[in-house]
Amino acid sequence: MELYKTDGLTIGYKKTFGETILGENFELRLSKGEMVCVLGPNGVGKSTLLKTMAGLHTPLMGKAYLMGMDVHGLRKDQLARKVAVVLTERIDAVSMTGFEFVSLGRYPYTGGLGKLRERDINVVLKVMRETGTIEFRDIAVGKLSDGERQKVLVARALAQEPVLLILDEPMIFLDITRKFELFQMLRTLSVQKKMSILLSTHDIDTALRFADRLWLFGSEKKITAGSPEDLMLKKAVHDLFKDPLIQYDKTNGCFLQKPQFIKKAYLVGEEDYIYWTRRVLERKGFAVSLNQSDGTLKVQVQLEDGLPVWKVVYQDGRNVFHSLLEMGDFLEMIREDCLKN
Amino acid sequence: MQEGLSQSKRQIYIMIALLFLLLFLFVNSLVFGSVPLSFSDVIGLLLFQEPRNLEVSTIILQFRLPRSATAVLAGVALSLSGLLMQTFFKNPLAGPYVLGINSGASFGVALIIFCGSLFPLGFFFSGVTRIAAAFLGAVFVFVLVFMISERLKNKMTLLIVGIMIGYFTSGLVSLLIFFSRASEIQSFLFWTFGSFRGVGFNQLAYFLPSVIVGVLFALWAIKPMNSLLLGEDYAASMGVDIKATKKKIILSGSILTGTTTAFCGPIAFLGIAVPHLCRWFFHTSNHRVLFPAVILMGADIALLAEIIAQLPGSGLTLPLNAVTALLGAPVVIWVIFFKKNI
Repeated sequence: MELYKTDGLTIGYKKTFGETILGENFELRLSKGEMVCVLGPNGVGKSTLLKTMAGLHTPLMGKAYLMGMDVHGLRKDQLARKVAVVLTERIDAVSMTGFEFVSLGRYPYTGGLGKLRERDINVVLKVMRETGTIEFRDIAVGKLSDGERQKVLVARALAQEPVLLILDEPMIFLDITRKFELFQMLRTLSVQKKMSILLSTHDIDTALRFADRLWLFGSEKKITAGSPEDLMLKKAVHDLFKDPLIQYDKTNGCFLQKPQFIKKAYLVGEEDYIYWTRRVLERKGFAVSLNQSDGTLKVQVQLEDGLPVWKVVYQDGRNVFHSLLEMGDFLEMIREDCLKN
Repeated sequence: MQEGLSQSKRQIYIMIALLFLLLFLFVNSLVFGSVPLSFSDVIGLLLFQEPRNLEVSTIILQFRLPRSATAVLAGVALSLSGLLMQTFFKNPLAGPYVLGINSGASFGVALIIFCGSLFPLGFFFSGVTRIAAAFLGAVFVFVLVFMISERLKNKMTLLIVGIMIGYFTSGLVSLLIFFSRASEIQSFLFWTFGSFRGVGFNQLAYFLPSVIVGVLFALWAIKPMNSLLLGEDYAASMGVDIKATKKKIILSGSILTGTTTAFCGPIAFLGIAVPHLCRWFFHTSNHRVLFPAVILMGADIALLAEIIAQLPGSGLTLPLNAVTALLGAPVVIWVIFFKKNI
């Protein structure tokens, strides 16, 4: 079911003279319960797109419709019952308890003085339990860690009981565990509660794994939408970050820094050890070749008494190593030699 | 209610303590003054007993009661407008005095006095004109500071701008005084020192309703103010009408600061210090708690300052602004040193 659509949406900023256009004629669709990740280089206008879609920023042209209603014509409190946001603005260490903070999300539902009714309190406690923030109920938000505060921010947004949750780089301060926790939580919301989730991120790996759909916001003021897999196969994600220093690893579906190889090396041996041996070789500047006649270097990994041994043949000298660290040091010497000549 | 029980209980206890302190200070403020009176005189009069002599009842009813009432109203008004401004400008050091809103109100009043000296019409000195002029002066400076703040990202530059606007308006005020008739100057100079003593019952009849109106406007802005603590984008996303809220805050802050300045002259430090004392005592930046807290604490501190200014037992009277500065400045320094948040 279609929840949100844009019609010729043009985003950007008005200036004293003229305007800065960040994106033109967007025709975007968002379905109920769908999780969409916006990917794109820094400064391309992802935040402006999200704020415009959330009704916080006026579009330069075009319309955005939420369940058929004009997002920018809707009354603010009406919109707040449908769309909630988690932004990148850092919250000043507000001395409000977790409960007080999350209950701010009840704003569009409470009366003139903002007094919470029983239903409001129940909603707040429920979202706090669901987001694992109930333990911060009586703790000042300013005292929480970045990860904890991020969860409280999400809880505050959920307290608005939105149908669409918009998050701008929600994982930016989080370590890997917290990141997966948060993504898992968002995934659950979209699957179980049929909440639509729109978020921007720089974490391509995670986005590829979790998102139903990607919006690739490139520097040409255009957005390409599609499923992560289709876009990967079409190399569209690859094209998004055109940079001579970055290389896309097709088999693993991730981006790597393109290595600057100086020599080739022939690598054979135990399958389990090949991958990490290759990583060392590449880091030290050796392109791995599977052709025996190729390469100034021959590396063989063997198991001896159940322990790995690396045998490196270089300029007719044979060297045996018992760890990749030792081998790495040796490769470093060779590289320095090569660079000198 | 499961709203953090221990915390809210604690807050209610402090609130009750502040209320009792208010009663205690109020009675005491009636006792102390240039003519020494006793507790029993005051209590007796408050309980409608026949006074010791007519003089006692005149002193209490004609001078001290309006003075104490003025102190309470001014304390409430200035502290509340300090709270409004600190949230509005997201600046812990904002306040009616620092941002020059006081001076704007002074300018309005000075202009009226100046006009009064040109056209000797009693009308110009009536309470309503005075309040209107002070209010307009306050609104003018508030809007000016606000427009400048929209273009500034740095909190400290806003304060510098506020202080400069304050100096500029004070300069204009001095010029107006210079060109005013000698007979007006003395009363005006007395007024610029800041005092709770110049307000009689007939002026309280204007002062009280204006403060009530200002407080009601502020009450109307409590709900959005909590959301504004998260910044304007977040507030808007929760359904806050940012423009309307700003108007309410500017209106309320100007009424509160303007009327108080119109009657008591510029009074420093109450507006900036009291909200911080409240955040410190109540451990919260929740405006639903801070609002009543600031009202009670503001009244308490103003009465305390007035009592100290009477220098009980000495027969001397100190300048009020000296006392508020001695009480308030350490609080401000403490805020700068130990607190990064508002």
